[in-house]
Amino acid sequence: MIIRKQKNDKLSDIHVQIEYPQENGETQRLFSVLDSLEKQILCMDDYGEQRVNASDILYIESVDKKTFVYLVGSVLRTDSRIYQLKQQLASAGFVQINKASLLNINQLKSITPLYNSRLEALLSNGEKLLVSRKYLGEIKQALKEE
Amino acid sequence: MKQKIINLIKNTFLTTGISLSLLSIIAFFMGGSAIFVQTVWQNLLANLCIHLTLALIHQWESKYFLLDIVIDITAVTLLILGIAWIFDWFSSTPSYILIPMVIIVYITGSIFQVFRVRQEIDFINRELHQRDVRKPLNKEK
Repeated sequence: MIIRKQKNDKLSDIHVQIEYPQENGETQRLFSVLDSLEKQILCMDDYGEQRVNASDILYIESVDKKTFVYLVGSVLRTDSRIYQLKQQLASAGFVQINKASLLNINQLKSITPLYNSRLEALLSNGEKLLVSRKYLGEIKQALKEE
Repeated sequence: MKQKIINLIKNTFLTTGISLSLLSIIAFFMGGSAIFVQTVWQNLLANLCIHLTLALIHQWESKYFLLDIVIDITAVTLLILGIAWIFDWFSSTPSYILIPMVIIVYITGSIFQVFRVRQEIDFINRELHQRDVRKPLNKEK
């Protein structure tokens, strides 16, 4: 992949143009990452509301009907439900890994089977999450589409 | 959804094959010489019912692995006893043979399932590894 960066003072916003001979896994991934940079969700913390880029999110978890957004070094809250976020962030590479969690697939390092037929996902920051076998197909499909 | 239906059909045929093989082994030792065509169809129907029931049960996720197994086996056994009563299987196969058969088929099916999950995990990890080799796009250099 050849990357050309060009500074242009006349532009008011960043322009990204992708040229490719054919669509493949790499182009799909590039689109997904760019999409996740554009996608933002409204979150809250103790200091108020803020918009968070989907690409900065490690995973999203629902606990006691509250939805928490996990970033590197911080946890925020959002009013959106898991099923809403699943639809909203699907194109940004988010997949459901268990009943209560969505994972940013770009942050997934590996999956390991545990002794009790459960599965464990290792994230880029070293954090581990439980994966339900039921959602393994979705992860596989998301990676295939990339 | 499509993949789920394909898996359901695959699993149904797999366990039907296992249960018919097991039935033929038991029949052989009990002096039997053939399996009726209707037994094959009844078996296929019973296995389809079992997989639909299991798919329904698995919508509910438990934190406890052993509890999952106990619920699965109990549901499958009750279902088989019900189907056996409808199709009058008890006249040829008593319940003390039928119940161990259910458990053997369940365990064998679970072993195949474990292998399938391992294959899926290998595929996912291979894809993730290849992605890392292609230099991750979201990592700062």
